[in-house]
Amino acid sequence: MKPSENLSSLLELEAYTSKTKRRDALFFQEMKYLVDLHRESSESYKKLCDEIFQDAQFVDISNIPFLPVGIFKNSTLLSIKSVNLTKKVSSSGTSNQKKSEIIIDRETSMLQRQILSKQLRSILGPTRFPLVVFDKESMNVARNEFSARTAGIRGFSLVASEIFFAINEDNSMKDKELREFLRKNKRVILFGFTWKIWEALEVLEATGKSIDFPLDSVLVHGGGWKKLENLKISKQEFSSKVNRHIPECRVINYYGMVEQAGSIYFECKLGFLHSSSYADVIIRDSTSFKVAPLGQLGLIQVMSLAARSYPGHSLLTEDLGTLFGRDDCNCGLSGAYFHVFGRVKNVELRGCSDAI
Amino acid sequence: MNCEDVVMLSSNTVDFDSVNLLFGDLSKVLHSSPTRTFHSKIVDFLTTLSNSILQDLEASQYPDLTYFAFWIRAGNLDSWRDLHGNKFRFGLGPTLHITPANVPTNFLYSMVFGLVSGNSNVIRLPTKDFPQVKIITRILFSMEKPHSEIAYEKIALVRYPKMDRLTSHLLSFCRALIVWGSNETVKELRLIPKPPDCREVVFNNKNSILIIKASEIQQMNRRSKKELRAQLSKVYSDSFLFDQNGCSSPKVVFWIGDFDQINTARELFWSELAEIVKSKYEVDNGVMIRKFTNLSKLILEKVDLKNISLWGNFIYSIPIETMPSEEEFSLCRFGIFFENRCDSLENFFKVPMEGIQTLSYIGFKKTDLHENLRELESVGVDRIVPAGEAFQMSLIWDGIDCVSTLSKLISLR
Repeated sequence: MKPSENLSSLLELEAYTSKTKRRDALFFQEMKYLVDLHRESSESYKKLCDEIFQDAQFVDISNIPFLPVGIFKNSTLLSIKSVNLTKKVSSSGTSNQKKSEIIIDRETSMLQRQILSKQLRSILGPTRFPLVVFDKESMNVARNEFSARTAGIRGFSLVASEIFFAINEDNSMKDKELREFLRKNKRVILFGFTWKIWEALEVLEATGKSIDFPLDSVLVHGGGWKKLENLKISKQEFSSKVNRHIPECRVINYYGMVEQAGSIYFECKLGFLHSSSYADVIIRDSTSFKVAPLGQLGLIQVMSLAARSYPGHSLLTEDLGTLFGRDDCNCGLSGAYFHVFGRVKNVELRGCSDAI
Repeated sequence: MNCEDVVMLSSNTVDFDSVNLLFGDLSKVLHSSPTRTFHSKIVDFLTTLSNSILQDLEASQYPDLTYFAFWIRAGNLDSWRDLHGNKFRFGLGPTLHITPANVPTNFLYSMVFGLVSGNSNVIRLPTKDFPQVKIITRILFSMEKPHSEIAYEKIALVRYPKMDRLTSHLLSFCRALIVWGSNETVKELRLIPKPPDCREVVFNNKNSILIIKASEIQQMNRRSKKELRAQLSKVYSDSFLFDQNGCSSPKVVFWIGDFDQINTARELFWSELAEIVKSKYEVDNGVMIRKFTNLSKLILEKVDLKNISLWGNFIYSIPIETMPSEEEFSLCRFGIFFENRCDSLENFFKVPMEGIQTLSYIGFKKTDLHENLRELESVGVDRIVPAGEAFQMSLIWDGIDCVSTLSKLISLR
């Protein structure tokens, strides 16, 4: 199948473009192309489409078949011959759940990096900046298999001029070196997984030390609230801890998943997550899977043009969210804007099962 | 003092500190002497328990408790005694019950198995704090003499973390072990040493089937929609109340009849059942996505799978030609069914089956099944019940006659 022309046109667009009509048309065409591409190259994907979306008519983006995100747990879906694969990314695999495994080849990897750096530049500015990562340097070691955390760090380092890992292997803060790094660099971006940042600030507090972060620092964090929720820590508590240590800091949360690495949803100034030009979000009624009306809580479906080596371009997640609109958020950014309300409840096993 | 006593005394020195005792006197229960089966004190105790549950305001909010209370009503106990009792049958001794984590009232049925057989019972409850457990504990605490004495001597409700050492220690006092659980749990428990005379009753993971006489579905519908709906409501309760997670919930539907009859009947059956599910089923927002994930996994794993039918988003039915594997059965939940066809009841019973517990039926008469069963060399299922009765407990469960397994019969010449 010949490579799509739509793709290059889409990639020419800004991450948050004003040409929304053109973007929508191109993106829909690209999604249809990806459906065909994956049908041709993955027997499994074709079988899933044929059985579940028996006679889908592609009228608009909502007709694009979607796979449950959990399908990547336990089974490896491939749209390439395995000789071409370059790396394997697995989910952080929270609490007794099985990990997802995503196989990524060179093309997909390049696309992921390309769209991520375009998104980052739009949000954080066009120039490269020094990056402080709230994690251990060992998380950044190049391997063929790596976790979502490593993938995140690598993604953000694409647009960094210099990287500093702020945490020692024993989980203590490299406070002396960090102070040194901050003296040298006036404007820095701070980055880390949400719970990792919380953990680092807790450790810092416990030692009674403090660090003078430059005013107007930007802190970008993601990876989900689940770990903090388990510790009964609210978003407010998180924010106030961040503000205590890093005063007047702009905090940007993002939503994303390893099943669609490279495509992330940044939170705008008004607190909404936005889809970029290279991605889309649909909220589906959690019972019927039909498109939910604006403002209704439902399951989040995510789409990304970067998924090429595996059929993950359109996925129904296990996360709940609400869509508020498209391209008309008061913050000025384009894209679908929405809130995420966390994972669906662990389904209670109703019936006889194991003694626990 | 014989050898056995020495063992018992030395076991006594191991502490039970990590056992969380919700009710009972553990030491008393572990040293209680067995009694004859259906002892009048036990029957009186159960009758009192039944009445207390039925009169309890809080308990009345839980249909599963009410159902249990009815199950142990005096009349039922009498008929069981007539059926299973024997003057020469006596209990074995202390019995350890490992009950399943997810059915709040399952431990009660297990307890009754032990009690009527003449045994004292240490019952390990699931870690999850079900309100039903709290209610029962409260009712047991509030009992008066002589029933309270029976309760303290014969029942200990415990919780403890998964610890082989403790299970093994408790078992050293026991003459019987009852295990409800997955094949994995059973396997693990088998590795724990037991006293040589300790009997083991295992209710491991099983699956169930529904057979439907296709021509009857059409006839019911012709007579009145109401009649069809009444039958389907029974299938609904057998399948959806526990999300097909109970061993007795049907996962395979076998259609009996000729090709065209089945085609018409199944269309009627599934679309009407989907309607019932739509109106009755309480949708938890995680159920549908998990069902969808399970379906997708089945599509990938089952090589020969094709022509799935989707009945709304409520029921997915998958045609099969051979019985599903254990793995495939385990994905079949929240409203996923396998479908197969057979031209006659006679040929249906020839289909090789393994690990099938309940066969429920629609459209057949008990006499039809009786006729067929009489002729059979072997039967692949443990029990046969009309649709709607899949979850009705009985003292014969999984093909095991619980009273005779948990007691001994004295022979006298």
